[in-house]
Amino acid sequence: MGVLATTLPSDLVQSQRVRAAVYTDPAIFNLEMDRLFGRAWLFVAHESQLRNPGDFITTRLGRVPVVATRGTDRTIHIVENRCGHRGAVLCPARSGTLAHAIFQCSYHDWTFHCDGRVRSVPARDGYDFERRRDDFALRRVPRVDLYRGFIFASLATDGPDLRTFLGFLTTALDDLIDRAPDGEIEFAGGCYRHTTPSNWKLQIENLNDLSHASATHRSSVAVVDTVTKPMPAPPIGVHRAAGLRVNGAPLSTMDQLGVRAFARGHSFIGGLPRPPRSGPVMDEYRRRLEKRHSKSEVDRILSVDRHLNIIYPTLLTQGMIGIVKVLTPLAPDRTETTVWPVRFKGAPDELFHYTIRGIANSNSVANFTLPDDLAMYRRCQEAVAANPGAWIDFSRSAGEEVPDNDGGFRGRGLNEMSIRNAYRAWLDYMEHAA
Amino acid sequence: MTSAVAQSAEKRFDRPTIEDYLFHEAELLDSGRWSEWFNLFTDDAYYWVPAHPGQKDPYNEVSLIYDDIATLQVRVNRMNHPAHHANQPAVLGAHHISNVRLLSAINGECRVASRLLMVDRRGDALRIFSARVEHSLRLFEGRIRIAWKKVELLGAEGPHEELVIPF
Repeated sequence: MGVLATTLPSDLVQSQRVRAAVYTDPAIFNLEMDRLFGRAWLFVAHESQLRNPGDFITTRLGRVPVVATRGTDRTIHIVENRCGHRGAVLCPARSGTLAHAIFQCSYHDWTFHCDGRVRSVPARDGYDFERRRDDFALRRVPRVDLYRGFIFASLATDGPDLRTFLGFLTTALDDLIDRAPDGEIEFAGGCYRHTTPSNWKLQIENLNDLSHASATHRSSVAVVDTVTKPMPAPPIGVHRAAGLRVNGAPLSTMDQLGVRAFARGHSFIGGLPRPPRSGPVMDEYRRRLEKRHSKSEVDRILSVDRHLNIIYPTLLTQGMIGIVKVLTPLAPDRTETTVWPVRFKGAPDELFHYTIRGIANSNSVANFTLPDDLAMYRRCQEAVAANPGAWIDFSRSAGEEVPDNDGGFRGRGLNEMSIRNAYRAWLDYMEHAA
Repeated sequence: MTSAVAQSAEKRFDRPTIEDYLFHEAELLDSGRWSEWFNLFTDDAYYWVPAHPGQKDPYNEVSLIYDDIATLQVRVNRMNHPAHHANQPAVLGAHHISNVRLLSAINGECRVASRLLMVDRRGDALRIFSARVEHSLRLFEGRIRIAWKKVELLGAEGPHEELVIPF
């Protein structure tokens, strides 16, 4: 590792601009893995993905491959996805079920319990095994905690607890869960996975940014009016064309939407100007919610109107439509993104069909929105790679944000305060050794 | 459709005719004749690229593409738009069709299975996609039209970069 692995260069990040090196420098990426991804609470899985004992999900926490399981005692365990013997990957699949809730390494047949303890070793007589049993155990992730079914982990032994870390952004997760008439959500209907040769922070900045939509997504807005074939009316009163047109809202409209930013880099932006949902399916949905909540609570739940929440650095949520998105940085110039549709349990099936159609519009690499964003990430990365010293600016409306009542700040839609806020958090993680 | 018409339709659905039709479709896609490709589809058609192997359902599971005729029109009309950024510079494609099999022909409609190898050139890079494709073809006003098309991509679950050229 180079010099930068332990110290951050001065003059890299200012309050309203950063050097392009933050997107390209491998040493900075390594330091992010140690100090940001090695410390923050990172989303791992939703409980509905680990329904039964032995079910597992593999992912990465920073650069560490991990596997999350549900044990026979129904507890969630997260261990490094690496055999305690010779280090082979234990679970090569993205997800699956362990027979008898036991890890069996395919290399030498060592077996382990879900919590990481060694269960059996085929030729243990060659070791002083009983004394060294713990040396061979799978490495447990230091901290695992849940918020209403969302499983998070931190590679750091110390630090703020999960509730403190989430802060006001617990409301982002509440906004998904509260919409379920049964009081529970599930990740259903598979997921999208895309990959881009660009830095993960470009996605954070894009998703915080209301001013790009009308330019970046101009073509999908423009072609709506060229369609001569009839678009069938959807069951919840929002015409499909509206979903494509929404990105074309004028900047003056986007500026009316609020932006909110909080400690540790979290933020959210207000709802885009969409027509209200209505009709018999929405009426039935409302009736089902009213079986669980008072009318005024249902009003409150359905009135939450946010386009997108960012739980920094990797988790993004959209409550009204029901989408959870997770960024997985793989290299300075490679990021993988996974996007899940969320089913509000107890809601009419048509509502989930609407989620499936909506997530397709916004998150399929083959449709009408995401490919344009991916093209922009690619272009940003290509250009900045040539000049790591170049300044990247996000100063719009600096200083115009004001404190809100929830411990954060609020500003107008086109204020780039959320990007500045994310870099404040970034610097706070990066300047302090673990 | 009367049985006489259906019979004559089924006679039209022999393998040389079907193969010519699929090769013609490939030619339209490879030469960027998007409107002509769009006109191959019936008004009740759908074009489906599932996002998971063995996916049964486009309503309860995510798909890479699930277009009805209106959404397909959005797709083709966007191909020529100068602000389709993922298509700037224009992505080029080459569709190779093989293993054509007529699965069934009944009531003036036939189902055809084929294999697709598509190569695209995006920027300086070539990519290869492989798929099992199923067409449902229908005789309509004396012409063969596509009633539905399903593309089962190898590695449909991704991760993918931008996909621009229709399969």
